[in-house]
Amino acid sequence: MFEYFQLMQEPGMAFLRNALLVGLMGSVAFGITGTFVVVKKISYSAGAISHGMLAGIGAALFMQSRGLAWAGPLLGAGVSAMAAALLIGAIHQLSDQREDTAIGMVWAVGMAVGLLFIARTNGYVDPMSYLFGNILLVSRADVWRVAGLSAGLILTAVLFYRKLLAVCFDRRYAEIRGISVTGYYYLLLLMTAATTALLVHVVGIVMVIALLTLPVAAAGLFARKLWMMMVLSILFCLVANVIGLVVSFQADLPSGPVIILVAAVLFLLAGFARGLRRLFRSAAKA
Amino acid sequence: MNAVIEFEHVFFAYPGTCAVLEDVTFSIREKDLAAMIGPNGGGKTTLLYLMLGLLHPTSGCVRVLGGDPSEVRPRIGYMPQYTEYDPQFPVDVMDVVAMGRLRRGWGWFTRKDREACRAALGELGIESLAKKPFSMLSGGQRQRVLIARALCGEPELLLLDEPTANVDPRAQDQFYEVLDLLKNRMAIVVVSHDLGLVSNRIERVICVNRVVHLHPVSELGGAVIDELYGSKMNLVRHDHCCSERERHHV
Repeated sequence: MFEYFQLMQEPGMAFLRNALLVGLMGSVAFGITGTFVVVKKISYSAGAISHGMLAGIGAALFMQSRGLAWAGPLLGAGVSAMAAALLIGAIHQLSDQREDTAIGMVWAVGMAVGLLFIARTNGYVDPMSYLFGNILLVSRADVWRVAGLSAGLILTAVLFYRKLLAVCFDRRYAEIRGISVTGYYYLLLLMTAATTALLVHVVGIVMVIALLTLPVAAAGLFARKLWMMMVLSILFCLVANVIGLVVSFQADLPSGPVIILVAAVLFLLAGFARGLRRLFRSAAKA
Repeated sequence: MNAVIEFEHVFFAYPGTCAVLEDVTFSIREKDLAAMIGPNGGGKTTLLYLMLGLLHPTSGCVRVLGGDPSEVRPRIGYMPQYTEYDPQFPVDVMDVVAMGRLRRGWGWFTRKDREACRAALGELGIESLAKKPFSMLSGGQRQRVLIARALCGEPELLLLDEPTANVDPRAQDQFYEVLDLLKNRMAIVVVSHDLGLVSNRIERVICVNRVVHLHPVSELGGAVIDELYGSKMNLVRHDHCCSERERHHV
């Protein structure tokens, strides 16, 4: 168990340090964005944003193979995630009904475009690390980007706390109080896009939705206020990331699926703990 | 007395549908206590949203508090139907009431905002609930919290949407007490199915069923109300006037 932390300190093992740092700081981003995704009930939109990202990743890999070195997969992921977020926002604004059908289209079309680009990319490209994540691949630059993301999200959550709370809890009332409900909706989608794009290495585009929702669902069992839900989600996510990373390294398993399973086990344990607490309370009353 | 709400020949249709409201002309004055009744689908909610400026008339003119509804909106207190809320949302009572003090633009939640929230909770006798999760309240308590939220913005007009729907009779009685408390302080419009409310406290009744008629309560007998709900389009007698401003509706 502690082998990871010992190895991490050796000079040649920078990738272990980077993975742990991204896991720790990424938890802040997952916890804050995930809380809004869950309470605003836009997890399906978040899924579409993350899957749609494959279009940008595929296009970037294709362009790189044709000699455009500047077109990195992360740039592709960022651009396509932002585009998907803006598209979903526009769909929300324009359509009265059947919004989910249009969002599903963004989801599938994005993946299809990405896979076709990858099929036509010269040389061997392994889409697995983008689809399912590999936290050991993160670089020092990734660490800085994730730090910036988390700082930005903390600032956003603090500055706009009451307004975001009102928009998520009661959209129409917020609108009556003069809040730009549409603007804040786009802000939430862009926060989701930034989080999924910059943390694509942690669990990959297919499973990122789990880290946006499972820790939050566990936190929701205990939190009485929105900020408590964020703090608890960050903690649960952090535990899942660290345990998942260490266990997967130790057992030589892919990190993404292990992190997700640890998060799921945490959720079950949280549910169990709350059940026990209720039982004790009702026993104490009786 | 000044008109707080004025509708002049307002027509409204949602895109691609036939008219929901036709030639609506009426006004509500300062400190009026009015009930809005009518069958489901008759246009009550549409009328309410026109007053809030969330919808705009297809033709005609709506003025609220002397201005355009969407501009004076912060001066309107509004209580939506509480059934619309996610029961698992992590908010406490204070959080919900504080939404009534939200403003456009920058600015933190000040001590003055907090005091206004406490005062509104106190007025409704629910200070003790301030730290309780909203999801753990009874229907009647939630209703009071939502009224407190509407009040803490110090409104000049209060719009209450179905406040007595889905609450038990005791909570209904409590709501009537709240209404007596607020009466004569500001103009109040209550959307309601609850006809008992209409007969006792309300001075005017806005009957909505595609067309809108305003009646003083004295002219509304039980038989007339039966008629409004019993057969769809047979409204209350149309041949009277409600005040010097509302002449004959035909």
